[in-house]
Amino acid sequence: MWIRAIGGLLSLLLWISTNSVIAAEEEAELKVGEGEDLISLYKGKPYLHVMHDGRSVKVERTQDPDYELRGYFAKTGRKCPPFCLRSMEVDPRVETVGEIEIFDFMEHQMRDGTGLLIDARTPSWHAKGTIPGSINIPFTELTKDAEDLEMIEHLEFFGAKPREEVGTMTRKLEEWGVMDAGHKTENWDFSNCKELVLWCNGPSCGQSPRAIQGLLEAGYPPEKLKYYRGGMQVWQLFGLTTIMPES
Amino acid sequence: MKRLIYRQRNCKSLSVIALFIFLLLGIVNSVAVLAAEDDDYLKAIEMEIDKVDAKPSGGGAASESAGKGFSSGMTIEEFEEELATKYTGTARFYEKLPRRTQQEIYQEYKDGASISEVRTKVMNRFLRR
Repeated sequence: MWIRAIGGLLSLLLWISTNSVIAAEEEAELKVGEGEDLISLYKGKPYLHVMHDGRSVKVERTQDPDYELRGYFAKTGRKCPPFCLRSMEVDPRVETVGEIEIFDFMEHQMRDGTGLLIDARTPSWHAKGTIPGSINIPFTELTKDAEDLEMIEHLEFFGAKPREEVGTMTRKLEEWGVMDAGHKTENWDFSNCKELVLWCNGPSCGQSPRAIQGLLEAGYPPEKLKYYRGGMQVWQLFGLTTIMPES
Repeated sequence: MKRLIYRQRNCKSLSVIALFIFLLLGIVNSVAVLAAEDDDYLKAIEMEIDKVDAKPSGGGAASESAGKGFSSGMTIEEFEEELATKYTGTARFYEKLPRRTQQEIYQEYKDGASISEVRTKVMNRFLRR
């Protein structure tokens, strides 16, 4: 009889302790869920919103601590050439940026309409997923001659203005630095052109570097061009949001 | 004598023409080489595209896909209902998870996770592994 009573008491104590452990665990988990364990974009910045095709898209890192990059962008080796590792800089005059600069760009230049994020890959790559807020202008179109109609349209879209006939005297004075040419070339006025951040598949991708070189050749001011070398590969490595283009 | 001068002049103009043609051919050739290089590069990147999975990734990614064992295109409420009716055991553990974790699991489903992947995730989160 005594033995049964002690046994019952022990079972009750075990039940109580198990339940309290579970309750404590759930409470702890709830706290984690409230943000202690949040995987932020960077310190103090959990996420941001960017407009893509007329809708707002939340850009954040995946909240899964077990997330591992899988698929194509997890591949470490690609045939070189053509998929050779690229230098940090495309051109000494063009700044190379990282993810935090992209977030800042999304929140400032893109919001106030002074900047564009350009997915410089071919349309078939873009269709497989892109960085929110990006517009697709393939490098093949940005490497055309500045007098090509397609290139003219792009330059105008970027805010450059075709320049009216410039007299020889004015041109010479601009060349000599007597007159301030600013961001003007013989045919284009880039004074109010947008800041562009160009990206492609990552450090071994040559599509955006080619686009940048094409724009530089067209006279686009280098200080208005940025190169996101990490591209899709590094973007996905950090578990950042990507989206499927609608069209 | 006149003939000789005429021949010499002719020879000179011929060599100028030859040089011009040579230069022109050189330019055409280098342009063709560059164009061929561009074509090769384009071919290579277009061939590579077949190796990519068309799937959004990361947090907040919107997808219309659904994994094996689930109906497609469900809202989080529909997903929970289906979990409760078809996978009662998993649903019981899922219910105990914080809302944010539940949303994370729903996101996994939207990204194409199968029931076994969802099940593993639920248990890992429940056991805080």
